[in-house]
Amino acid sequence: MKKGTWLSLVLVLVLGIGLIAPAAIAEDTIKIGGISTLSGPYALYGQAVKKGVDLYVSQLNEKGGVNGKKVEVIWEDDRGEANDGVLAFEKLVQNDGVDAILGAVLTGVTKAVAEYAADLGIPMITASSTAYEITTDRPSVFRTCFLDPFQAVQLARYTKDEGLTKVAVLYDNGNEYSKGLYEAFVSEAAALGLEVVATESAAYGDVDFKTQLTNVKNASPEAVFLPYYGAEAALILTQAAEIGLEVRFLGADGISDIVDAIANKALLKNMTYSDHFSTQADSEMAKSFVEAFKAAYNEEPSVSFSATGYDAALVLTEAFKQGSTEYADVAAAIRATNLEAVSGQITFDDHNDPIKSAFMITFDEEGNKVFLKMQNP
Amino acid sequence: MLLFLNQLINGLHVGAIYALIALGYTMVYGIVRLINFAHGDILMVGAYTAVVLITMLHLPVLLVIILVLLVCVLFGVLIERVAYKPLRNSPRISSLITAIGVSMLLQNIALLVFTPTPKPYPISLSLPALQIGTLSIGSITVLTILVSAALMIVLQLFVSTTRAGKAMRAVSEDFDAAQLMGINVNNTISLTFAIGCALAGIGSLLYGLAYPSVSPTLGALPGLKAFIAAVLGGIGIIPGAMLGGLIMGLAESLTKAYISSQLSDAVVYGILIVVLLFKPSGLLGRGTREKV
Repeated sequence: MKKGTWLSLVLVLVLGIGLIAPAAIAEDTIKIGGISTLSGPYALYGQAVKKGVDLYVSQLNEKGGVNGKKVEVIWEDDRGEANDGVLAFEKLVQNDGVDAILGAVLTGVTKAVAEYAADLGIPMITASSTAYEITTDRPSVFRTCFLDPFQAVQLARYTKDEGLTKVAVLYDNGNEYSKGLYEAFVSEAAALGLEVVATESAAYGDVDFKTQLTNVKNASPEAVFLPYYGAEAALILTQAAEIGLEVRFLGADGISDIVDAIANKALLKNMTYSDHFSTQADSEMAKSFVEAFKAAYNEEPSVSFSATGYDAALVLTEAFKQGSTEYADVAAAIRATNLEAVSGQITFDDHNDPIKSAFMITFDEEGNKVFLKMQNP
Repeated sequence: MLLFLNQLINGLHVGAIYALIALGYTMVYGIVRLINFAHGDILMVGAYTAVVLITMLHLPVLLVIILVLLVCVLFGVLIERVAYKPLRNSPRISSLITAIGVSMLLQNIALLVFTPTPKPYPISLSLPALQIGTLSIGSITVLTILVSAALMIVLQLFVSTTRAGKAMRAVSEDFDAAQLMGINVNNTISLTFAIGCALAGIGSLLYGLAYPSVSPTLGALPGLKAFIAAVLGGIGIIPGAMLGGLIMGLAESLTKAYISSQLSDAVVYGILIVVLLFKPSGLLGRGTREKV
């Protein structure tokens, strides 16, 4: 009993200090709460975002920060779980007293966190969640990446620009990302007068696609759209070669990690995909970003979410330069953004989505990415 | 017509892979009465062995193939000695649960060592496709079907004609009587596991060629499908494993091609249920059945 009383007294003291402390020292820094997937199977994306954000913030602080105030990013790991994301959000807002949230990375986590952020009205910006409804009816939630329907539309336009008229689609019926891209692509293709000669689907987790590819081959398309992630797309390209299907392949941003997933790199030369950024982009801002990234981390920013993460930090801190840290003022400042960023010019539409360009990328014989062109909205 | 033939060949390819893995299941079950659920994971062990030997140590492919087989055999025999042998006289449910445990252990070790990010399978085959008239069959498909059929025949001959095969059949019929006749039961069972896992090793090579993406759970699904193939054909019977595998492969492929890709598993399991209703011992099973 006695022990218990002492323990609770100590707890009360510790918690009390914890509650008072943040408010006392929060004056001369702007605190940003970073929620990212830093461990687990999707850590690759989360680490990419974190590296981009950290790079921009350290550059900004060297130049004197925001109106003389230093910017501090407090990172929390959501492990790719919506639950952990919400816990991280509560901790950052209540214990650390952050002024804005940067994150989360995976769509599922961001959806959950955005709900809480919208309720509080705290400004939040994600660098990588592409699902449409994340910013719907949430005036304080923004993003710096483009959306799934947007890139599907750009891909259909690119197909037409290339003079290809007969297309086929193979998509994953058990994956929202894949289905969303497929639907948007097919409707835009129909609007542009492209002929969709075959539509095949596979179940989630399938590894054998030869049956569907044989049907696709039978319809003799000129290009096949594969709204898949790199690992599955690598399997599909290998099996397409096995059954002798030699056409052009198109993919969305999920393809960006295919190079590490495929053994026979030569198969990649027929693949073109849309991405949020290319390390070969020719704007001055992009070039200096790639150089600074290499200097800081000794590697290329090969995952494009490093670039959108950098841009998210840029957009957020520019909004703070208006002088206010009131939630509503910062959100209004973000909405008024018109900035040249690493991944292109950024302005926001009524739905808080950026209006920006897609980077069309293909591969050479060794599997190196080759930047083709910007596809403008 | 050409499309139908192509789809048949796709089905035969998948079926041949199932059949090859099912041979390992059926061998072990026929002799020890144990459903070795870790069998599919031996496939994964083989695939990662190839990844490590080629991408990290840069060994030549032929040497790698031999080493992959050796590592698989080693794992199989080791698993039998450590996990199954102490339970040989306990209720069958104990060894079944142990087998599931071994499977999880292997998957989680792989998860820890290699991380869940899939790695590309480093061996690839770039031979021209086989042309028969207007029909073209990919080289990997041809190789897989030929290797599976050849291995089934060799295995059947081994079990029915050699001394070691005779010992296996004796052990399978009566454990104690075989021991009384001077057969070394432990060695015979080890040999069974060694052969079964060597087949899984060859399976990992063919599987890797066809689906070149290696992850810790790689063996789970083909393992399950091959187990069903073995039951469908009559578990414990070597030609039954081949037949079961081919039926499953064809059913999957034709369902995907002509009905719906979402229904392929439903059709396969449906066939299994129908067969088991009318012939509980499997397609080639007999009332008093001859085990391996």
